[in-house]
Amino acid sequence: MFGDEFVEEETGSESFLYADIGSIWTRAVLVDQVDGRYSFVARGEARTTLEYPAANIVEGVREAVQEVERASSRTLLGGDGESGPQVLLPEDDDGDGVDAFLVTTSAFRPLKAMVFSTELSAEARAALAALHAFYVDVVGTFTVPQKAGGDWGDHSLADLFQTVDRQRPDVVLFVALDKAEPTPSIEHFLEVLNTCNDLYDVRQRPTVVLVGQTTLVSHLAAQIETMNPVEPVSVGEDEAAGAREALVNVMGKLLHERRLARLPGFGALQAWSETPVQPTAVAQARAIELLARQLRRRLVFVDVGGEHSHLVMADADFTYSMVRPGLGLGFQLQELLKRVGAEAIFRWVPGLLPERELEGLLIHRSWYPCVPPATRDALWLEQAAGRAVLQELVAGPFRHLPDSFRGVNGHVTCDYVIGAGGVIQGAPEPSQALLLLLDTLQPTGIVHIMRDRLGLVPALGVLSQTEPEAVADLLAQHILESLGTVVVLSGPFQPGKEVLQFRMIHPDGATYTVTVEGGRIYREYLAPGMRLELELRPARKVDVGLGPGQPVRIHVPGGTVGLVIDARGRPLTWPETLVEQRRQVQEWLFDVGG
Amino acid sequence: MEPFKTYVPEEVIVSPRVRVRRERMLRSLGQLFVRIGQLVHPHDVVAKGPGHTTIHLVDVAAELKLKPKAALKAILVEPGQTVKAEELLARQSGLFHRKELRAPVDGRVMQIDPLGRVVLQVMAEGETLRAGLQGKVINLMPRHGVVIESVGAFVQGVWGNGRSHVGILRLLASSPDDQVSPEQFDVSVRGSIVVVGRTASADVFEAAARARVHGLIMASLRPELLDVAQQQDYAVVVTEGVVGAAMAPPIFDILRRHDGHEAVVHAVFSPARPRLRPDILIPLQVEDAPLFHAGRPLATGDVVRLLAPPLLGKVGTVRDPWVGLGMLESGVEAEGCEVELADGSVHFVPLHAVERLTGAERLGEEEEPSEI
Repeated sequence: MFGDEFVEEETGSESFLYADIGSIWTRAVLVDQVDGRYSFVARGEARTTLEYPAANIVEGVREAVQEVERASSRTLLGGDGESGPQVLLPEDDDGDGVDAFLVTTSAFRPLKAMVFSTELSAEARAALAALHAFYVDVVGTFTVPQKAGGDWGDHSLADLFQTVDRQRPDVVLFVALDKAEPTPSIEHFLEVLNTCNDLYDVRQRPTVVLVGQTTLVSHLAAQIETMNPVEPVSVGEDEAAGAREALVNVMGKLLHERRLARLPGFGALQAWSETPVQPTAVAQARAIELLARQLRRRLVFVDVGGEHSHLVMADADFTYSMVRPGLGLGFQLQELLKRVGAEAIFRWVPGLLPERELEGLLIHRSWYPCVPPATRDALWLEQAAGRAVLQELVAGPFRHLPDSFRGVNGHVTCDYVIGAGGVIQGAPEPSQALLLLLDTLQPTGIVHIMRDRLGLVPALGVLSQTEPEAVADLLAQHILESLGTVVVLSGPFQPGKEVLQFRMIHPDGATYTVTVEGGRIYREYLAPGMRLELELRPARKVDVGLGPGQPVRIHVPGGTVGLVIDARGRPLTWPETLVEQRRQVQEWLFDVGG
Repeated sequence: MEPFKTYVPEEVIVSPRVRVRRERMLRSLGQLFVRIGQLVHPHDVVAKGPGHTTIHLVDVAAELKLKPKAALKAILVEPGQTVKAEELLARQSGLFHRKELRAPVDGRVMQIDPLGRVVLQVMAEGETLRAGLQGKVINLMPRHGVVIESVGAFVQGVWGNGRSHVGILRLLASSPDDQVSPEQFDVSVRGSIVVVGRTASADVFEAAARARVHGLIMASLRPELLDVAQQQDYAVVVTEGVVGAAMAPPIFDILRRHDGHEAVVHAVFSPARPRLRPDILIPLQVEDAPLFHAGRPLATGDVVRLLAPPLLGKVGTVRDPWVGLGMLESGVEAEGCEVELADGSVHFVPLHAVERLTGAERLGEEEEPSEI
């Protein structure tokens, strides 16, 4: 599906091994050249070994690589030294080892940040949005008062001290893009910072990131650097927009210093790899940005992780990346249940298992996140929890969509949706993964849906910096599983009433016409790699993304699910009782063959 | 290349006799009060951490039921001023009444905010680290902590309410599946660690609090009672989980053997650190005991607990530690092992859905303890 848009260049590496260390799973993937083109060879996974008894991330990587060795019958580890076997680099004449070893990780706690600003201008807000891409948990946002004794935005000074005392932020971000010289309010910030420092052990004081005009930043940095580590982000008077890029670099550095580099075993792992170990979400965002630029299409990417989840929206000119720390299918499930309530999760579980039992199973799952869902009920519950996580992830960003992603009635629209994370890539039926993404993102228009079955999207992000032709080869070989094309119908319509007629025109000229009723989902088989012409004739007020009643004739690609017509409307509507809602979900699942 | 795969499972220790070594570490550098070879009891202080600065917020407006402006007028201290505990912080006098508020702790006034709150900077007392178990100090890590070794029967659970206590073990349950009633908590269980069997109701928690027990040990706890258990002052340990399983027979067997003996309950739990498990130690006056080594691969004969429905909570014995890939009822493919249950049935179980009860295989070899 993808691949032709990428320019191929000559590079040195022929084979590479990629490892992603998540909070729960460590996964390894081997890619090698076959007939001159990069191809997926084998993958393996093991539990992440951050905890006792190993307490060293290297152990989990070794186990995952050993899985790859077994699957590929190749030797990739060797050199039983003092610190144990390591990845053999480069590949030798016997085919042992690999030419490159790439690593990404998300197995760390988020950075805690407190944000102080003199005035939150549009530029300042744009700069701060960059924080979300770096596993940052903003524990408080305060506006510096004009004079001592004033309020700090919506908070008092007491709130501020209490936040510092309870949260002990790693980073204090001070944004003053509108000021060139120190003012009394900025001096007041320095006093407060000094007092906050008393709450810390001297060696653990937060790093202060100063974002502002050069003269002010220099002045403040000189005063603060005697108390705290300082990272200046200087921008010219009329270059406030440039603050974002500079802040991205600083946050990347801080995340590396304060989290990645402190992972047990990080030093050993970094020594094996010539490419710096990167945060998974940063590599994912880079890959999605690259795809969007090359294809000139709008992409929405979501990853449901164990401890963090990630959303990326990108088109030819714009990229938005947001990591939600603490939102995942690991131990935080119990918190999620408290936050969103049982009904928000259990409505997505078809079947008759009582709520009390579902609750017990969900908590059990949060204590044992590695246990695979063995029964259908356990699988539905896991996918229901995945839906709740995704809904939380996109709720905020989808309320403030950029114009290019705003579809019918303000719902999101895009050309491609890509899903990643265990619950999506591990769904045994592709239709389950497709429906999970469709139910939670609720896109409008005509969308192609894919999943990152091999977990290689972050690797593409790392490779794009050094081996761009490997990215092209891998994409050309469908490393992203194409689930299918979805046509979403929006507008006022009654369940059971005719809302669309569509005609499928096969390459051999054969045609097939279907009438669609409101409230249902339709699935037509259209195999991966196939394309067919589709003629859509919506009813008068029904919108397929081009305006109410507008017919359209398009060519659509197939997928492992095929072609799906989603006539449930936007937003999805629910029957009154939980029992009816679960029955409704059962029907939707049945409609798509899940 | 050898296709056979070794797999290191999750494990809990369920051992009739084991040598336990526990690190007791300060959160920040401090001072140690014991020496190598010293015998310690659970309540002995082994180390103390340094004091640290913290914040204490005194909401004068709320305490004296005043509006912020009135509270600000009533406050008698100023930023920068040092105050002693019980020193007058605020006073409001009316025609027929006088309201006063005193400092709850020693501290320095950092700030008084416009809402009528006094921010006190307080030097909190350093961490006091107790031995937590009966045993011998076998290692010192200067300024960091100590390692204490003890020999005893040892059972790890899956959930705890964060409390630690010592008491006499009392079995109120007569079988792993038994359930006790609140009426059974009379004066005879005061100060005891009570084994209640399958689960406990909210009434049982209340009765246990009234009887001033030091701990409750149960197999399962309904999800809605986790918060109730969390609020208790006594230690609560759950050995199986939240889905209503009976207590694993090897665990019940060990607790039954030691009915009436002193036990130390360490009910730690952190969902973020799944291998930090709550435990129950029953010290034994014997020298000879094996040392537990974590990380042994799954092997034939291991006693395991199953973690996935439909066999969730069942205990069995590993017949083959690796039988390759298998398809589960959910459609998910997973590598698995073969486990034989007590009824003789043999099941394919995903590797990640077994948890070894390490030490339980030795239960049959151990004699019943005669005297502690």
